[in-house]
This record gives sequence, structure tokens and C-alpha cells, in this order.
Amino acid sequence: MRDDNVDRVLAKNDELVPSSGFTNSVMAAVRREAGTPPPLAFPLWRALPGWVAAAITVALALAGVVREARGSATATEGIAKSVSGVVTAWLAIWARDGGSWILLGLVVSFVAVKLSLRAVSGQR
Amino acid sequence: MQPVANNATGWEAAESYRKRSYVSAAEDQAAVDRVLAGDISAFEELVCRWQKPLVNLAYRFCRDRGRAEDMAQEAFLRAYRSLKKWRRESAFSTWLFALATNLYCSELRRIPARNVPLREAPEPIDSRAIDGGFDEQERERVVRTAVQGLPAKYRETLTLFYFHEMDIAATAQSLAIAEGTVKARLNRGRAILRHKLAKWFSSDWRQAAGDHARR
Repeated sequence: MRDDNVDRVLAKNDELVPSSGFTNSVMAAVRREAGTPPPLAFPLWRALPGWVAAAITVALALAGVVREARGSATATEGIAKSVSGVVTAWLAIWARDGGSWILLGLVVSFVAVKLSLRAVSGQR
Repeated sequence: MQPVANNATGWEAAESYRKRSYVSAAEDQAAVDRVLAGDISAFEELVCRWQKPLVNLAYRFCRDRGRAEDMAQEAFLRAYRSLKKWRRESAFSTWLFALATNLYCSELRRIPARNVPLREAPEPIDSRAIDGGFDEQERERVVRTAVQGLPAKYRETLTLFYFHEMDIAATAQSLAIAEGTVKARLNRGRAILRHKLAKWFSSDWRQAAGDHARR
């Protein structure tokens, strides 16, 4: 088939007229959309203290592991001692530096983030 | 053609949408400003002005009236949600058609249009006849069926090219691709169509050969 025949067929305007209720249907949907409150933004600033507390805890734990590993006499003995030593050191650091408060802060931040995400997804 | 009264805006020019877009650019911008200021009813003016082109464009993609109106409605809804993102570098109609095109292409990929395979189209009645014995309506149906059977990128480009009255720049803007890509896809799409339609319109080459011999 020649290209000009294809052009003629495909260029033909179908002149489809939208149904009489089309505009009303669109405006009803737009008004529903306008009446819906906007989705909540993710509370990044509220989650920040939790992230900071988590980073500090991880840093302290790593510091304890390194300290214990360096203090051991042999490598294998050091590793064995460091594992139990880390746990002991960790608990000691925890008790001394208010680790329970850090843990509480992490839990609160986690709950806040989860609730916020649920609220955002629930809005859609 | 004379303008016809419309119940919402008081007028509807029965001209191509391209001519209408040049006329209505300032009115579109004013309506968008009012919507963004909080006057939702101003959006109805935009709907009334662009409903016919958007529904017709959707119909060219899906060939189903009900689905075309559903897709056009969704396009308007997305336009409303994204009004703040219109940067006014191009006309509102250009932005609206690009948004609608994106939506229609996605929808058609998600749920392809119902299409009768070309092999189930009626056989040519008289292969000796210039047009295979088809009347005009049947010829159009066969051509449109062949277009629907093209790979998505060629089908979308061809559909938009003819919708935009063979304007390559407008087609490129709607698809967000380069004009060279549009031309390449048009050439390739037409080549595939010629191959597909050769069986139904194979006498065309005989006609051309006859014309050449008679010169």
C-alpha cells in the first residue's frame, strides 16, 4: 500500500464527541481530589535523633571490640577473649553511660518512624 | 465550520486542536492561575476546551470509546494534581498532551488494546481490483488493525504523528524524544506497515507499474 494511502487513512479525524456527562465526571473527581488532605511528609527531622543515637551506639560497640582485641595475648586467644570481653565491655559501657536511655531513644524513634510511614501510606 | 455553543464556556471552535491551542494559550494560562489560586471551578474551563482532543487521542490508542473516556478522565486528574509542575516554558496544551500521551502509552502497555489479528481480517474480495475489492471503510479497518499490531514504539509514534497533523516537532514533544528519533520510527513503522499490508493491497505495485508503462 502506498504511503499516501496510509497517510490518508490514519490522518482521518474520527471526530469522537465525548459523552454528555464527561465534564461533570471529571470535575467530580477533581473536587474529590481537592477535598482530600495532602499526604504527610516523611518526618526526617524527628527521625534524626534516633539515627544519631544508633550511630553512636554502633561506634561505641566497635570501639569496645577493637579495645578488647588489642588487649589480648595471642590472636585466637584474643578473639575468644574479645567476644566475651566485648559483651562484658558493652554491658559495662551501657550501664556506665546511660545505655538504657539510648536504647529507649532508639525504640521511640523506631516507633515514631513506623507510625509516620503507616500514616502516609494510609492517606493514599 | 462555525463555532458551536458549549454549555460551560459558551464556545467550542470546531477547528483542529492545533489552531485552537494558538488561540487559547493565554486563556489556558489564566485558567491555570485561577485554579492554583484556589478556584477549582476554573479547571472546568480547561476540561471543556480540551476534552475532545484528549478523548480522541485516547481513542486512537485504544479504539474503545469507554476506555478512551476513562483514560482521558485520568489524564485530566493527573493534570490537576501536577498543575504546579507546569513550568510555562511551553504552552499548556503541549504540556497536557505530553502528560496524556505518557499516561495512554503506560495504560496500553499495562492492558493492551483488544485487536483483531490481521490474519483474521477479511481476505481481499478481488485481487485484480486496484484496492483489492475493499470499500473505503474496510480499507480503513485493515490499516488501523495493522497499526495496532505494530510494536509499541512505532505504533505510538505513528498514532501521535497523525494526531498532531503530521507535525514532527509536536510529536517529538509529546513523546519527549528527539525529532530524529521520530523520523526514524516513522520510517520503520511505515516499512512494517507496507510489508503487513502488501497481501491486502498488493495490486498497488501493479497499478504503479501500469502507470509507468503508459507514460
